[in-house]
Amino acid sequence: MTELRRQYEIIAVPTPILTEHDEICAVIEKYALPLLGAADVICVAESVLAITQGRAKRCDEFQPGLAARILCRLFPSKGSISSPYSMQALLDVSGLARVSVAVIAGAIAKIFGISGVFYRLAGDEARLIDDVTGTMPPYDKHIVYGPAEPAKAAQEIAQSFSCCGAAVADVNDLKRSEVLGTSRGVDAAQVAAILIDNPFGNGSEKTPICIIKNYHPA
Amino acid sequence: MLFELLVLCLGVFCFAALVLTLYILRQGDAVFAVDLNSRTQARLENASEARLAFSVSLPLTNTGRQEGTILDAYLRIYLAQEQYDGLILRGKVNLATQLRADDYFEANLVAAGAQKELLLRFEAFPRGGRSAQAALAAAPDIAVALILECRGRKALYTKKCCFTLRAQELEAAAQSANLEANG
Repeated sequence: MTELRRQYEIIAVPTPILTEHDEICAVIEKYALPLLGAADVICVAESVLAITQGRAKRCDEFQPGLAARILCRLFPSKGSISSPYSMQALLDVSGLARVSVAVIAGAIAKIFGISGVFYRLAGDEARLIDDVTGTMPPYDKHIVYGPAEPAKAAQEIAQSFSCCGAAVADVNDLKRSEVLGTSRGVDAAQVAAILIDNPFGNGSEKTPICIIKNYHPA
Repeated sequence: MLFELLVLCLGVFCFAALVLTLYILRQGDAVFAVDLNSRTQARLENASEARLAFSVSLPLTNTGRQEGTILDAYLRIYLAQEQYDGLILRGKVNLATQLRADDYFEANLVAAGAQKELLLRFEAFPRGGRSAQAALAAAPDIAVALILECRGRKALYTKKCCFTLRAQELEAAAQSANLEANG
């Protein structure tokens, strides 16, 4: 993975803190376009795309029901869905039936030593929701969903600019890199490997966009 | 047969509910405690004729069995002009390890059993033509509330911790400003 990372130049693009009042293509045009070449891939951090899509909500915007209050107790307190608010956020998008089935299946699978079943069954949001403190201020007091239709968003970004392609990525400093959506012609696994060193940064770097220069599919 | 099956299902459901309830009760929650008795006296940060800054520290402990979050923290200062019109006092709070140049409080996770230090920073602005030191030295006891927005496994709740900045400690802070000014 590191070898692949070294093959590419990556430019981190600084921007101001983006909010629900920003539109991601307009931001790219303003801050990244001068650095963008025809063979490049634009990568956008998933939580920032989600914020520009209006998918960050304060805890007091949720009304946790009895199910959320009980189900959240079944997850370790360090997890993103361990509070009634973040669990209610998951229930709102995935539904009580699906989450309940995922919890039961996950518990049974755990007995047999298989982990991760809940997150596979409960929908993408189960692993994409960021609870409070998961995002930099002023969104540290918000629950941030994953972005809506990341592949469609990537395709729209790629079509808006004369570049090779676009990707929406979820990367952190713990060497976890996942690409949630790409435009046509971009290899998600390859881009995930290229971004493994987290060029976005997770602190106060304020670089939610990065450019992979001279991309060529594996 | 059908009746027995229904009774069996009901029994299994009740047993599962009982196990879950016991699990939740045993699990506990985050419990935040601010030890007002361990508050430090007001200590001078810096001073000028027009402004005097001082701070106090308070320990915050999560005495519960679960990790919790301090979502927000802020101060209310109950100094009414009817009580004393020689001073405007403003304040903000941060974790001592996470001081900020703005008035923002960054949401913070507090592990079960962990203790953190809150640093309450005050700024005194004189009114009526006096220096900041003189205005603070003449200030009365001032009631202050530290307000914490907390979250654990239950719903958000607000915790209000009230204490008094005593006139003597304010005077001492003002005097140390005078000493500093006089070299």
